Amino acid sequence: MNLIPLALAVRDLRKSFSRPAVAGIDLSIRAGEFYGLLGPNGAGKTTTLRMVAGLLEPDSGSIEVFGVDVRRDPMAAKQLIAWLPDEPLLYDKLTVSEYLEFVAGLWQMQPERAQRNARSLLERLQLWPHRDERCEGFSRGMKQKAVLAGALIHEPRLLILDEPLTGLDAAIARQVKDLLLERARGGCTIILTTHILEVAERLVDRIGIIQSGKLVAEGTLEELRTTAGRSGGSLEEVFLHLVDPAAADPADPADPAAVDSAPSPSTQALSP
Amino acid sequence: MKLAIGSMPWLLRHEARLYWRGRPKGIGSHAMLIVMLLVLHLLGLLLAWTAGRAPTLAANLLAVSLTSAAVGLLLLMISRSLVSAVQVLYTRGDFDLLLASPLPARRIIAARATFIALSVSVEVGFFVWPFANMFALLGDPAWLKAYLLLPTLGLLATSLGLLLALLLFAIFGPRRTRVIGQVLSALIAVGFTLALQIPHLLADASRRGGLVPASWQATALALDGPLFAPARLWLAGNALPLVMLLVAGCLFALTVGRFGERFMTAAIASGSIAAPASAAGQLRRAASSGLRFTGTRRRILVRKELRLISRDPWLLTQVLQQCVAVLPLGVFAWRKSQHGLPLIWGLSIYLCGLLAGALAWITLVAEDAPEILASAPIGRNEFVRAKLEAALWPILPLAILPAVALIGSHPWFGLCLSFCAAGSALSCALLNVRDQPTARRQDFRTRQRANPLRGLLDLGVIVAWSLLCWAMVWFAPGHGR
Repeated sequence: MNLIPLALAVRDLRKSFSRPAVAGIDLSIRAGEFYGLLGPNGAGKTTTLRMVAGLLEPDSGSIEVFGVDVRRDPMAAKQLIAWLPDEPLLYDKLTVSEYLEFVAGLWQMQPERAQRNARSLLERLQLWPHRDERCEGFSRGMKQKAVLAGALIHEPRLLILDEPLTGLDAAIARQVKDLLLERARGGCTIILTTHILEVAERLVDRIGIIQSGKLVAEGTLEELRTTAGRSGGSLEEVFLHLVDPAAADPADPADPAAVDSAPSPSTQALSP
Repeated sequence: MKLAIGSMPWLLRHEARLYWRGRPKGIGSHAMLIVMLLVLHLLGLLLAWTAGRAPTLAANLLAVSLTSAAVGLLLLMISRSLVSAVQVLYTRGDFDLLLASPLPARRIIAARATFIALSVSVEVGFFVWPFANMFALLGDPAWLKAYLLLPTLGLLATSLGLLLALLLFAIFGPRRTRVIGQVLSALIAVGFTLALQIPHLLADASRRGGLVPASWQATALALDGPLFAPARLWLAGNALPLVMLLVAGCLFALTVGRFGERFMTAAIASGSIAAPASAAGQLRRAASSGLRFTGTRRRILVRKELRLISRDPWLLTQVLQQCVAVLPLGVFAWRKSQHGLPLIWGLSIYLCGLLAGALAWITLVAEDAPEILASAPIGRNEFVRAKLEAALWPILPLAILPAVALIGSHPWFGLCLSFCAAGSALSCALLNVRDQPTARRQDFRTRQRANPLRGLLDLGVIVAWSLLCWAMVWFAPGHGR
């Protein structure tokens, strides 16, 4: 029996726009877990996470964050969550410290705690010397760091990051990755989507692969390798084999051995 | 039509396509254009018919009217072309792509400048040509010379607009040119509304005497005076309008040829200003002592909105530009306010409504980071209230002003005005509360394109409060004194 509480429990989640974007997803993510959600463009990753963050109303299904029903009590759920969108949307005319003050105010933090957290985050992300500069002059990397500081200032229990490392240079990406790992070790549950498979390979504990609005495989990297029949393969090979077998084996797209050893992805949802 | 790739017409077609696709989409917007054209023609017909029954205008008055109209339109076009030129400098869009292509930069600049002249002429012509058509139909075909007048003015205005933009760039540098350009454009637009009042002001002056020196009046109103000579020449023959168009075209070509390259250098320079922090930012950093996290959530929300408004001079200029429309009304009220109630104070109802509607749109609809608010544990009502509060605070002094200013002479009138100005502000702000798609702040100027009826609704609310004010004063004992 698994005694670790669930940070996120998603059951039969569905959302359609002009076509189904999320078509019955089930997710169970344990508290303190670092979870990576991968999938091709338009697979439904962002839509799923936006529904979890309370930004989008699902058509059906249930979402619970640390036992709080997101649909029934969105305010209580949002208190526990931080959402980091793929585009670092900031107020250009505010300084970083004013931005953090605003975000801390939204989550109604105690001023002393907010001040302490802000200082520590700004120093950690090397933004302290820029704290009184307006964001309009910042590079994308600095903006992303400012948004990340905003997401972490209220000490969320569940941190959801949509493509947090896209467009960052190596140094800034390293800072962000280190901070995320530090938070994960501190007990924060983190879910991220990324197209940079090396990042997922190095950072996350467990990976979910989503395609056409469905979770096609889930597990640790080793479990996914077994699922894909790619023992010792990189995540890229495993990923391509699961979502696009033709791209994974261009020379031999219909290798009977591979087909035999790999169960159909659509029926495989590994439980750890 | 097959155009040679990279040629001037090809580039102009590209500009036209971008311009047309920047307009609101759908059959509704095209239908609206056609309806507006029909309405303008009907208005023109009515005016031409009335003018045909009235005694013929004296030649000097006709020259005065034409001069004031031409000066007004020229100022309006300069204002528009200055904004367009500054936009070319700062909006990267496809400019980087075009300049990186193997096409001659001079041709790219020339195409863009030509399109500014064309669009400015057509935009103004849209409102002027229907009247010219109807006056030509019912009266004198010479009115069709308006089809030459506006391109002439458009070419002159664009030349001046480009030169002004370059001058501002040279004097104020890439950081400040955009805002100063907007301010200057607003001031020039004020000139447009005042220029259209020239005949009335001159008539007033000649009636009252004393305001304008008699010698100046005699010169200004004289048929053979130099001020109206171009208008007289324009009215006299058919060849001169063509000559003037050619001269304007030559001036435009000269400007683009001589300064096009400098304009391109300025555009490239403006593209590299984003990264370093401003000197002001450095100063603020030096003066800062650390982090301050104080206040309730409501106060923090209000403070954030007020900061964002006060730190965006471009946006403030846009808001104030809208107030320019009040000037003709102001001149009218001033002329009628010489005896009895000081009617000019009535403008406070209009200004409060207009400003509150604009600021409420900025705070409620133009949210730069909507996902932060959406993901925060805060109900919609709470942040809507805070945003409304932020939009209304700056209006408060303007609403109180009439009551304070008129307390000695017309206390009841002042109180009624303040009450109705506050009501007008609140009503116009509340019109923005309903769910609307989030917009960007830079869409402020074009916000009513999405819903043209919105502007009419604002106006209706302001008129309703003005009528209420009038009723409160009219039915009060002693007519508001």
